[in-house]
Amino acid sequence: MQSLMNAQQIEPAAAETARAGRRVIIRTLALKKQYVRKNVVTEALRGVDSEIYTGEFISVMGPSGSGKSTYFNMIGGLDSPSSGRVFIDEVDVAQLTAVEIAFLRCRKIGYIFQTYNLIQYQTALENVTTPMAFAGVEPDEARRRGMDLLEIVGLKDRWHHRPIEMSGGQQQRVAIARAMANQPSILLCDEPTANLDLHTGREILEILRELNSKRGVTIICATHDHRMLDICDRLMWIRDGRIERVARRDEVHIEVGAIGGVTA
Amino acid sequence: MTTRPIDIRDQPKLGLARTFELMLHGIRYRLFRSLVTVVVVAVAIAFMMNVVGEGLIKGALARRAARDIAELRQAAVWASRLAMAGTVEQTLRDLGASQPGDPMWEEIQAQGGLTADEMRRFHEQALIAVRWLDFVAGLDYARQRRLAHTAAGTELFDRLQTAEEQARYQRERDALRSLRWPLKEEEEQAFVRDWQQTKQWALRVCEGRSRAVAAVAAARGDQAVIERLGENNGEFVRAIVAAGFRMDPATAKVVAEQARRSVATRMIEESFSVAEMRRAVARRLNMLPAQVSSERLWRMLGDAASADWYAGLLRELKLPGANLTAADIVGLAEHKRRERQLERIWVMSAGMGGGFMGVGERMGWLVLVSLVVCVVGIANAMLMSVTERFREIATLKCLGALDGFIMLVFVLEACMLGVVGGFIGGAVGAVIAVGRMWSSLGWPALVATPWAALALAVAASVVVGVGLAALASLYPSWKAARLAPMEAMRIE
Repeated sequence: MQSLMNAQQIEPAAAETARAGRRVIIRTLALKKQYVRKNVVTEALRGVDSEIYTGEFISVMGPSGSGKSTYFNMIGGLDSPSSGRVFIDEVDVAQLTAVEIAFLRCRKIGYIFQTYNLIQYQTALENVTTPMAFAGVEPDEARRRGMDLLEIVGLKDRWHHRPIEMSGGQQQRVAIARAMANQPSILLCDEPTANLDLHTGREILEILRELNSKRGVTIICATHDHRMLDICDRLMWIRDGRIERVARRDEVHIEVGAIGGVTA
Repeated sequence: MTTRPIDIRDQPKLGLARTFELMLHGIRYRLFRSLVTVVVVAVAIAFMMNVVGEGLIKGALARRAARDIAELRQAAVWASRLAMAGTVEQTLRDLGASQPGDPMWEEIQAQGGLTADEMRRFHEQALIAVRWLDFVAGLDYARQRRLAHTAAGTELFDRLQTAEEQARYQRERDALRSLRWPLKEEEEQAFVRDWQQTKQWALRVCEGRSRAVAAVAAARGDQAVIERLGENNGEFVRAIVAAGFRMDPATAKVVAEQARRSVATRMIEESFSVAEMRRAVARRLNMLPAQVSSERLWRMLGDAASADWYAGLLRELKLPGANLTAADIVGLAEHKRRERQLERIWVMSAGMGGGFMGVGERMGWLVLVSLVVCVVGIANAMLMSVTERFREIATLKCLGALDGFIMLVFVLEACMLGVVGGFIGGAVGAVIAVGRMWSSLGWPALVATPWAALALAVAASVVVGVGLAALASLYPSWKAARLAPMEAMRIE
């Protein structure tokens, strides 16, 4: 029942994007996830049907414990569902071998973490080129592409700095460059601005927006940040393991007051 | 702009060089932890290496000392052979220690009047007898009593000739089954069946030898054998050879020299038992007469001035040995010192040679425990390293690292520590082993040290270090490889 309701909610947006000729890049079907710990069953996701379209910028919102992180892990190929399916560009993730999943993580999806997760003993450039090494790119080529990426995030002159010598905003920019290393189609951002101040957070969001608009990268962003409202195409609210609501930005703007508590 | 379609292929494997680089980065970043791990490995390996090294050195020393002592005591051995007929057991031992073609072999054959074929069988029996006798003699008294009752030496074989004694022996043997018996039951039984024949041969040899001893006795008159040997006139040696003993000219020369030395040594020691002499020495050493031991005397005589003084005193008191010069006495003292040193080495290294590479059972056990502790230490350090790097590992997996790569990084890291720790430990252990041997035994220890074997042992300890590290890192690295990539999302 619930999933039907969700489907209806998604309907208008889906219809619109379909009209715009966009393909679905991530689709989940009746996604469920249970954690069993010491005989206590926790239902993290209770049946999620969702569609994310190529090239869109979507924000996923929800209070902590809502299942938002679980949903993220599922669509990022980091965890397997208890039941239901995840399709990434029409490929069923459950069908892939461990090596193929590694390939997927390496080239199709870029991950951006709240805590940046740069490798502490590597320089900015080394951090950016590490995924390229995993993808089998020649070191010289990797270095050139790494410098290009650092230039995009505005850190070209700090390529030899280690994470410990950089501010949070700079670290997150290196992390974005790293996520873009193998030209993924999807950027999965887990609260990218939560540890940053207002101004730096805005810079990060602008970089993301630019990647989205100029390179056509699909950006999925878990966030509490209300500034996200200004730049994302769509918003998705998750609560109690279900999609509560999906809306286009222009619809949300009108209804901001009504949603209270979720975004404010 | 359109995105590229997703096509899934296999992830390429990362080159070893790149893996190595990443691993080295990791070690450098956690230098202190790595150093501690290296120290753990080094300490365990050093202990092992020390035990093995000392075993090697002591083994080499023992072999050398045994050879040197046998060399030094040729005169004494000959003196007793020429004076006593010998026993059945002695005959068996002599034969067991010789090979066809040896002078001893020929001598026994001649004295017993045995054919070549008899000699061959006699030799086989002698070898079995020696192993059996040595085994029984090595048991504690209670066990000896149980097996042999009051029989000593070859009397045991005589006892076993009756059926009931054999049955009794068999019962006791079954009860002591856990011991490491040198012979199989069938071998023992076959030997006992043939014992009468063997004993008869041995007795024939003894008879032949007592005839030869009588001949030698006639040649030397009432002079002591050792004194007569020291005179080194060809006549006596000819008499010895004529009596049936195989003494070649070279041996005769060495024996004569040792015999002379032995006679002179005895003269000095006898002169020292003269009260006047003892008092004079005590005064010179500023000690009480009762405190001056023969060892102290010899140490004093090693000094030329004292030797001269002692020689003068000998002449003055007209004691035997008055014809000895100071240089003679110094030479004797030097010889005495060398003999003492060899004896000390022999005693010190007596317990060595058993077990693997000369490492005794007890030490082997200690080494094993230290290696286990080492494995636990490395495993702990690696587990800590893995736990500390949870987020990093998970991030690497998000970036496309394969499980095998993660595992390889950690195993390589541990192996690297194992190489360094193993080498340091091996070198330190070897140095300590050589140093300890040197400090307790002096230069002979360094001369006898088997350097090549020691170097090989250090190389082996590096291998052991790597092996231990690899073993210890298996579980932690497996744990790291299995880590879920979503750990990277976790916020502490």
